Amino acid sequence: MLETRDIQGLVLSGYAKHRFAAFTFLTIRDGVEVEGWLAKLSERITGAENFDRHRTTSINIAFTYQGLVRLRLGSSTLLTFPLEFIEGMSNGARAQLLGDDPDTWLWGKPDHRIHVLLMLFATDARTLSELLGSERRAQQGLLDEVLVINSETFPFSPDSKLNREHFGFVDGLSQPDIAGYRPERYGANGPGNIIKPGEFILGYGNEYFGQLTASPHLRPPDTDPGAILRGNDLGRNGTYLVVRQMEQDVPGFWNMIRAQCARADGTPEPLAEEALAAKVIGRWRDGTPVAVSPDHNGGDPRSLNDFGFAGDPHGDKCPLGAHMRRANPREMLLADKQESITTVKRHRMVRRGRPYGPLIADRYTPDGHARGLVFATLNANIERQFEFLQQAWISSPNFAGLYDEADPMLGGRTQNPGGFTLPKCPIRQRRSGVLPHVTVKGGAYFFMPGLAGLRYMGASSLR
Amino acid sequence: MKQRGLTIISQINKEKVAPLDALLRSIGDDVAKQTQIPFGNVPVLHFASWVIFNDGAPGPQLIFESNFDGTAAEFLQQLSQQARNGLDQIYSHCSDYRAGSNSKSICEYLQAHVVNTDTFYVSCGGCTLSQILHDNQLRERIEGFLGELPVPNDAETVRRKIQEFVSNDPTLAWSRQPADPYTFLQRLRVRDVVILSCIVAILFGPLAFGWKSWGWWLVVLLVGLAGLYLILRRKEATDPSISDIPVEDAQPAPAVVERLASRENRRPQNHLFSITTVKPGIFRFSLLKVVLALIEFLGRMLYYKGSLGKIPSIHFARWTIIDDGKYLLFLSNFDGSWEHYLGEFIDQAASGLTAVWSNSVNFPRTWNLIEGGAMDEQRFKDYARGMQLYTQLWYSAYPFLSVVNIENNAAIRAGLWGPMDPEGLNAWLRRF
Repeated sequence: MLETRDIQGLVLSGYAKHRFAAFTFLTIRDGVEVEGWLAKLSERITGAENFDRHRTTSINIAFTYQGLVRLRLGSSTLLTFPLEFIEGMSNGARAQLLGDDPDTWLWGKPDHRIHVLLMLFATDARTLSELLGSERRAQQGLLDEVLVINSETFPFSPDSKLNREHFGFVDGLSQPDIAGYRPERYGANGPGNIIKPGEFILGYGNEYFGQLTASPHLRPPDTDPGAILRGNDLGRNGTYLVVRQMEQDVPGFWNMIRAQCARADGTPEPLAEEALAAKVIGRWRDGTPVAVSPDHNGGDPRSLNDFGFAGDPHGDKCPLGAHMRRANPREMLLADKQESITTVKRHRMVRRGRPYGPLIADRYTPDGHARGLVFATLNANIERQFEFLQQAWISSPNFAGLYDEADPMLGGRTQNPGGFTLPKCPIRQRRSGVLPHVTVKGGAYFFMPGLAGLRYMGASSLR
Repeated sequence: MKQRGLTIISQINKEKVAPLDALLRSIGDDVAKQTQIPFGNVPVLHFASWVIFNDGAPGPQLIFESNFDGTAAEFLQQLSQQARNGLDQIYSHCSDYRAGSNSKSICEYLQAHVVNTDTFYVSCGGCTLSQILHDNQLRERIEGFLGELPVPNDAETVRRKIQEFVSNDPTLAWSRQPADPYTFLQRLRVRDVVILSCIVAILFGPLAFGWKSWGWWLVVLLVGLAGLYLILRRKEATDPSISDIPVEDAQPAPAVVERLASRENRRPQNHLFSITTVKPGIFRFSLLKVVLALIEFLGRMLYYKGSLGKIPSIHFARWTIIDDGKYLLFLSNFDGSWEHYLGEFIDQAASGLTAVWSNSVNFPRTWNLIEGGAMDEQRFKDYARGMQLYTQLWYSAYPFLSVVNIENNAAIRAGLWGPMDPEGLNAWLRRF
């Protein structure tokens, strides 16, 4: 059973009703004590126990490694955090692994001063701005804002419960079901999508035979006289949050698709455009998987995630290199379906991303606004989950036996040839120039403690 | 033609470790552009590396790993001719090197420092470098042709057009010949026959003294084996192990890993160099020898078609015991990232590598030789990272081809000519 009383709400809920959000990246001023602020704030943090359906706001918090150093956690304790978190996303070797170029980032470079990520959510813009205002007052004199990313979610259509991202596609459909947590809400796509909680929350068994994912502990262990933590386990009920600001060039994407599909005389082919874009993503804009419905959209909105690739082994419907197939190969990663499922379950993440920037009026016409996705995913082992996925599946040129392609939407390593293979009988079609129009503008790894962990960090008298 | 691998170890002059490290790194920093060691001029060389093992009992050592086609003598001769000056520059840091820049004496020096390689593994057995490059060229040319092909109607026509295209290009004339076969006899070693004969002789030899004495002999053998098994179980229960410490304390120092990782993921392929200390005593040493011999045999006889067990991402790898049984050296040339590779190890081949590395000091706790061990996912990775050493200089002749690509290219060539049923034809066209 999950100790929901001790888990931050965002881990178990995407707060769909809170359509407005602010990701505030804070730096702790030199020489100030923020424990008092943290202790009070921890009482306002939204927990996962008994969500109040009528609440209008939610607050969650996470810390970079630099933030934990600033909070004066002991150096031996800090060394029990995983290496990738200590090094951070923009570390040279990690950037090499992820295919990133942090020199071009707006924030999160190796010398960044981001310590705290405070995530504020609200049902409407006014409530959010009030919340932001009151949090700012609480931070006064102690913390400064490095960056605020405002986010508003957009329903796919006026009456839809599903949200869309800026390219126009329904987003956030594929989420893992957490074993033992609210089984009545599991999707219909079976045990392959039910993942042990230790993959997403520290302190629980993971997909490697139920082993405990390494969790930061107090070292030396007697630094918790108030016994706030259970067994010196600072990470218990916490997790790691990977945040990336991914800017989307919407006109760039759709004009590229238009050019790919236009007739010889330049006349656009709107239907072909929709079809090619669906192949690139792996879903039609309304979320219908092309692996299920290769020729048209209009799938049942309740079962958009209940499918596999077994009926499409060669990728005739959903290309092997399509974004969705790379991000989650389901039962077709290896020759053996059961082994595929076992392996894929070891690399899943909970997705909590939200769009930023305004919707574009006409997807072919640049309007000068920056927009994109605040990619935010939760995983218990950044190296085995987020980094693995990015390197081995998303950006690997050799994924699924391919030669020199990368994810056609996200791109891959530095030189992207823009190849994209559309398997067909009798012979494949290969496109070139299917270049990515998503650019990483910043990113960082965060530790998202459980509520007891947070109280420990706010208990200044202990140090 | 058969692939072979040499492991060449030389003592480094203690004062010259740092300059040698700098030299190797400078060559390795941009191995495609450097000119000191013109790897590309050695047309039989698939992968090579020079690495420094600094902390061994015999003092600092330079390890040279090579994976090539044909005989060792021919390879060394070609290499010393092509890279005379570079080799001289590198080996002048070694304490017993006097060769000068004479290619013949360099070749002799290298030859004299070859050590035994216990387990040499090649995934695409029999595929020579020239075949790998040619096959890839063939595929690329056909891909280019397919790009200009107007909307094709049926599979037969597509294949016929591909055949016509290839026929019309004299530079692809070689593709009419099938690739050289990799025969059972090529894979067989004299050693296999000897060992097999010995096993048969030990098992059945005493039959010569009658059924009854053979029965007793079998009992003796079984008791002996049971004894060995009990010794193993006892050792497994009591050997010190990384599993004895909490998982959050098991990761190696950040600075160490950062240095290792700085060399990784610059291309789709990666290199892994690791040295572990073999557990002391004749028991573990002998057990390790047996396991390595068995894996060598299976790798050579069964797993030469693209994957080791179920791992389809190792090009060449080797294990060998060095320094009079003290250390186990592991060198691997693989596709994808370290995390991916280690994950594949654990997900697909945990028992095999547990059987090997459980004979090394501090390995995660095992049961019955092949259980546990690598299944302790996080501590196994921590152990592997902790035992990994920095690769100064590493070369791949085809950094952008995965093992799966190479096998696919070979199958394209193999299916280009000759009769084909409709099912086979569709499968073949799927390879593009």
